[in-house]
Amino acid sequence: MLIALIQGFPSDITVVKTACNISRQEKEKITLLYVIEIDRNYPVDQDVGIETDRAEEVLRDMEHLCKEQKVRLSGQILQARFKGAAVVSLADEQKAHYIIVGAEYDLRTEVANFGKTARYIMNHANCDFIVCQSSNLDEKG
Amino acid sequence: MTNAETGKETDNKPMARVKTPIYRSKRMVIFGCGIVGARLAVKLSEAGNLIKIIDDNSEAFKKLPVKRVEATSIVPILGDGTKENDLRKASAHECDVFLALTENTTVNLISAQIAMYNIRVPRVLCLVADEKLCDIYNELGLEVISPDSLMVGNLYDRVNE
Repeated sequence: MLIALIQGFPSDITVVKTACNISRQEKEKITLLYVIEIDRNYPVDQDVGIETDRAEEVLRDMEHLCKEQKVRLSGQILQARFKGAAVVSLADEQKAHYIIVGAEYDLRTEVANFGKTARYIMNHANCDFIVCQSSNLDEKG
Repeated sequence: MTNAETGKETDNKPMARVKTPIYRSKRMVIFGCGIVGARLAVKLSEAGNLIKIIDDNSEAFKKLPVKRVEATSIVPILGDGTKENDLRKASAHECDVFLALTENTTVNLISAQIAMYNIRVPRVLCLVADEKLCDIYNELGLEVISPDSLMVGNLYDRVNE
């Protein structure tokens, strides 16, 4: 089992391609995970229609990309307070062997970087953790 | 042709130029002042390169020879190599080679990718402890060094000597 975190950033394509490569080599099933972060002012199961629609759209695109690679996969949308903790707890729950996360893309500064999600997973994950950044910086979400 | 000062005729042949190899010292940034990072920094600085070494633990810099640090051929910089700002403080944007040599593979990978894609360092080398992950990282475009494969290669060469 490997978990690929999809965030709607340009690096998603690299994340999915890397996940597919590992899946083919190790015969692992891929879980494409999209986490919607909910502010503490609202209940964690708050209905966030627009966010959910966007998550489904992004996951659909990534699933389509994976299908061309002929790998086993499933998509999952989670609502949580913090992406990093959600990924780590799902990985523990599903006994995942790998977590793959891409660089976060700052729309304001147009810079891709590894943010607090990657740092949290790096410090708390109990499995192999791979971070990847899109080599083509012109690929914008 | 005559020489204006001496009035003697000079040879028309152009002066023979002595071709000497041009050597420019390289500017290198090393992330991780562990045993590998510190030893490599000393060796590279002895070869005439300018080294900046970044680590988030000031105690780690005690491994560096004081003379080399005082002569600024090795410049220790306190900072987090997984942060772009700290890497820029270490002049990673001006260096020729960047080496991520901490003991943590993920940290090396984050740092190497920032150096490669954000800062655009011409050459980036990344130490990866787990050999099975090397192919994956190679596919991400990184130049990966695996201690296991280095050791196997070294032993193979010795056996075949």
